Amino acid sequence: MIRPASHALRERPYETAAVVLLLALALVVPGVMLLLGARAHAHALGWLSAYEPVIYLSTELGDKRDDTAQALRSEVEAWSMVESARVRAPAQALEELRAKLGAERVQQLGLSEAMMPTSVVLSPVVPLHGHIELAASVSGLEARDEVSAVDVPSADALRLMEAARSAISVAFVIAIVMALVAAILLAAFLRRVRQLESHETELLEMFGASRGALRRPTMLRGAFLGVTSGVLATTTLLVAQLALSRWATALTGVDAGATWTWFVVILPVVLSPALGVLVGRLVAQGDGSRARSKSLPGTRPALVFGRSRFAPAR
Amino acid sequence: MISCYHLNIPHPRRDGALLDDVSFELEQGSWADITGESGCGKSVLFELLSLRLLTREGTLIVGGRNLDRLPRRKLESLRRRIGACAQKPSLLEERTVLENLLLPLVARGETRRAAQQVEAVVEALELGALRNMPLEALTESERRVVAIGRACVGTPSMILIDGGVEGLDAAWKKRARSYLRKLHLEGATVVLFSREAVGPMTGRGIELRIEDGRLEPTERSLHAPAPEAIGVRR
Repeated sequence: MIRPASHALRERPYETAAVVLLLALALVVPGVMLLLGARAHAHALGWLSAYEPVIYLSTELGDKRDDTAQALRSEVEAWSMVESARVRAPAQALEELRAKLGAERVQQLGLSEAMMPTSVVLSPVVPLHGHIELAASVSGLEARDEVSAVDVPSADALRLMEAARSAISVAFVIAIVMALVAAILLAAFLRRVRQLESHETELLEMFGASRGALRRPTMLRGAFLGVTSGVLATTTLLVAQLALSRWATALTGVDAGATWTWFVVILPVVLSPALGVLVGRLVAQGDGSRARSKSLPGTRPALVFGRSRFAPAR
Repeated sequence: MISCYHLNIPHPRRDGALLDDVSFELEQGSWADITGESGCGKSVLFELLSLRLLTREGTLIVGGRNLDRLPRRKLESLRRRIGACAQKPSLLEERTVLENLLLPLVARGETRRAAQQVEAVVEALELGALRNMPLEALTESERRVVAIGRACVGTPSMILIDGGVEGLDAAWKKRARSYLRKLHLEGATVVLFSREAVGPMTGRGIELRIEDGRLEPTERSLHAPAPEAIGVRR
């Protein structure tokens, strides 16, 4: 082209900005969904992975308390789902509570060793999210006389994890659909710009410009739009990632995050230019093949983008 | 430079041939006036020689390359050696004269000395006053001169002008003709397709006429000196 490839975009600032914003949006929406889903999944997973089921023995057992606790420990340790089990004495339970809540808080609540039950703490062979029947088995122990209560994860954590998994799957589907929509939108814009300079393309071909040179401006425009929208999307996703990390930590007190979510943040800046170049090439190639038309009898067209004056009107 | 053997093109609108077993040869640096009535096939021959159309019947060799066997990339490269101006030239209406003249150099990737080469054409055709005007503001004569100038920019080895310098105002005609002669003397092959011959009947000039699809050298051409420079075969 006589003028640089970017000139056509500068001549249409509003259309160009709209295309960049829509492309970026197409990358950001599924990206944010993936980040949210991944973080919720990571939190649920982290919580369930750290979870140890506890069986609290009745305080009414009196002197039999220690023997009963040992018997129960031996029983549950024999379960294939349990790696180990330990008896937690009331003093130890109070100490763990102090470590978790702080000595001052425990004192404020008026808790003492005498009020603490003897309990059996289980370490699962695999984290609970992978061995949910252990939670069911432990829950069943609550029916026994010597057991006053059990502590197993609530169904909410499992539901959250399932929801997060679904959100991730949906986000992947949305990402594919939106990438297709973005590609169609980009192709329509690039084709429009190309049609406006089709006359110049035809003339350049008549004077010997190569097909590659004639396609290059459209590919460069695709790459430019892709890079710009990719940078915009990555910046937005980076902000979203940092904000989510801060809010999630503040809400749950746990800094759980999946490493692969950084890939989601970086992906637009790689994927978008590649998509831009690919769409640009397809648009330029498509225009060229459409231009090949029937010619005068006894001849065949020699031009790809342009046409002979003897060719029938397109 | 150009060798054409047994070229046959059927007439698009009626029975018979538009070009009937046409054969001729033009050497590098020659001047040829291809004349004939309107609709006789001059423009089709122009389109074939300017590599906008390819023939299905007959052999065309341009710049030592047989077009039948030429891959598309080589065709593009060969097209860069040709400066062509159609009878109704296609110009960039909203662009300036300078931008239009620059176009072939952009197509050839010769942007290094582009300004210098465009200025040479502007100077030779006295287009200085129009240089920054958009084409849509020019008269028909001025537009045609710009198109002829565009065909000459960058001194291509072959210049093809369909319609010749017909229809130009007298002053423009004189400038265009003398510039084409200058390029011819510098070694370019110049082929004009027009109703009347305008070329110099020098040793390297020839006039060919298309009549009823046949291409024949004219009487004037047959009596021109030094015919060995040009081969015309029937």
